[in-house]
Amino acid sequence: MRLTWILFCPVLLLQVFESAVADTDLKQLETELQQVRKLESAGNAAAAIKGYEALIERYPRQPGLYNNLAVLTAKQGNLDAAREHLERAMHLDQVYATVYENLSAVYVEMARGSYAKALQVGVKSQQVSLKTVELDTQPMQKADMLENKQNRTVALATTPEKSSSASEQHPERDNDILQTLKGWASAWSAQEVDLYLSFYASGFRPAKGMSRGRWEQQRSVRLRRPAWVRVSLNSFQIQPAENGLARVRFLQHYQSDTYRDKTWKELLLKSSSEGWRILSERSL
Amino acid sequence: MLKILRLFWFFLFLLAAAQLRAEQTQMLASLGTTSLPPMHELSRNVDEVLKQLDLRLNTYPQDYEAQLLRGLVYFKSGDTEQALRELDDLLRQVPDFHLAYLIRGDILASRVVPLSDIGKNRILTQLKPEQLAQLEALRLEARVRIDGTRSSEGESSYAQPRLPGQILKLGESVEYAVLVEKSTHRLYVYQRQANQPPRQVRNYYVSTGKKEGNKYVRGDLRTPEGVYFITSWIPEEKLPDKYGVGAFPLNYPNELDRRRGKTGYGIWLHGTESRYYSRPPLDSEGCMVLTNIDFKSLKKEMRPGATPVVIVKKVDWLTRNDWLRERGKVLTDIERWRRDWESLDVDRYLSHYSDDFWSKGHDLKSWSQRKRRIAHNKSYQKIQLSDISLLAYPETGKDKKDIVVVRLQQDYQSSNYSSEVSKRLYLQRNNDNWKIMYEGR
Repeated sequence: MRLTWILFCPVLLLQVFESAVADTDLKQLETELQQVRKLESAGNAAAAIKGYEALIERYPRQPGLYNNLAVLTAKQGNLDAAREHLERAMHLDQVYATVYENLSAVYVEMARGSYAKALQVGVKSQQVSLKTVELDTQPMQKADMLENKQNRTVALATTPEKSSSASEQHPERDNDILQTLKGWASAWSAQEVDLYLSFYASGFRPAKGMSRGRWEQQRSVRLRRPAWVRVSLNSFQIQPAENGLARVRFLQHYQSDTYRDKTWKELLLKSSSEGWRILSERSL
Repeated sequence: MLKILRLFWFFLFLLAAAQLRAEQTQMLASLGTTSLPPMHELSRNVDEVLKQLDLRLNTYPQDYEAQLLRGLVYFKSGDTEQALRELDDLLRQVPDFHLAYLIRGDILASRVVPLSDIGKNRILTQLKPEQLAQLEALRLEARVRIDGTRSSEGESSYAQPRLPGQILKLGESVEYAVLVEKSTHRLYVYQRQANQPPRQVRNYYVSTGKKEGNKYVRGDLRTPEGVYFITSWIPEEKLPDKYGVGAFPLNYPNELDRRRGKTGYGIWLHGTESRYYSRPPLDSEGCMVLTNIDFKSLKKEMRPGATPVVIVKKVDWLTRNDWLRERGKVLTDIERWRRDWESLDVDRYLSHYSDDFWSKGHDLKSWSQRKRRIAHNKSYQKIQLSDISLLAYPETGKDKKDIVVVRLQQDYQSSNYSSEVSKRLYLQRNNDNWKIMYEGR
């Protein structure tokens, strides 16, 4: 399903086109592609298919062309042809093919582990050997995009760099912030939902694109669910951020009757008349 | 609206392979015209269902079933990332919820292979027979929990709110009653309300006997259907681990069961063995099994000697009017019996008893003789009834009869004797009147 998204996302396609062609060729391809697109939007599928086929003959290493051709043939009900075009696109685009393959292997192994627990089968250590890709042979933009993705996962896996905040000294501000965070943690520990929520700024944006309402509801359920909760914070690093905001990192120890963990958190705090308020919150 | 909800749940696990193909074609088609696939219809339902599940979590924060269903809803709506987050979060809190692992496996597997059913895909193959059995049990649990959630809207799934025909009245001393529907594996808790019909406070998934159907003989692995009461409380320390965090024995076989020659014993409501979170729907030897977490939440509301447990195959959901009429009729007939008894007119009093009446050591004949003799010596009687509970007996099969179990407090005063006793009556419908078929303490 992810594969289809990647292949059919128009923005991405454009980037694939851009990245794989030299600048002069790019202009040429773009004009010709636009003409084919016109045929397509005019509903002249047969002509558009011919157009793509002609383009493929001249630019045989463009995965996007195969993909668009597949869109048209699939629309005509010729799924076999569509599948063939897509397979060729995949083979041309080795990076995505490998990423997809690797991702699949990881999912399969994770699923197996979960099934093993469901059926109470002894779980073997979950190791998967994945394929690497040669990043530097790939066009610039694609490699960038991939790297972004990898960076994200890397950031999740490693602890943040211990950048010192010693460059600027704001003992008063720092003290205010620490007091705020202590209050936040103790409201959480006391499972006092209203108090806990009052530490969040009106402009607070929940992660995952969740609405504020749903987030608050979810938080209130999760705060109240355990029989008891203990949250303690340490290893604070406070850094000033743009527009007078403050960025704070700390190690959060969470304990309840059912669960405990340690996570690095990063909060973006905003100073208001009532004191510092949380503008964003994320786990590192 | 409710129709849409039902449809939604119905499609929850529709063949994912077909669905995947359909989605692809839809996406392919829509890309040409750059219009979005018609997702808005679905997302509206998603919001509605999520709202209901959140409501459940708000009233009962440990409703892990609701969280599992949240995961499934996100999964169905295509948000596998959020679905996975819900499941991971759930499993952190209940790490032995085997069904949740299965669903999590499905969510992960769906990224790679098509799913044709819960736990059915190319990744999950070459299972040993006992693993297959476990998988089948989990699959059944999933269906029961999904369907049960739908049917637990029992009252609300009708245009007008409905009331269970099995619980017609709870006496002043009976704060809560339990109603178990075997066909859907739901356990409902009803709370008494002054001058109002009882109110459903919560419902839980419940496992019952390995074999379906009504219990008749010892060892038939079935859960009995009838009106029972909790007799005692057995704490965890006095029980083997397999009963979980405690047990409430029931009075099976009750008076009617014994009269009908039913055998067996030890029908309990209890918790779950510590290494499991929940048990498959049909899994016990006749007991009703809750998860330990749900059992603990229910425990607060149970009172040995008072709390009724009505076990039925299917709940009779009545409109408020029908429910009030049923209840009114029984109460009227009980009041007539009391009045006629008080009047010392023994013939009129005895007209309230059915031909096949029995009591401890009595049939109708010996009972009549005794009552005539007693009445002969009395100049007056005063009878007051209070704390009346009315619980309708579920009757299935060929000996189908309408029976209501009455539990009441009787204050008896007469010229030569007075007493205060707790009584149990079994009434049966005879034409349009309720007659007493059993009377005892």
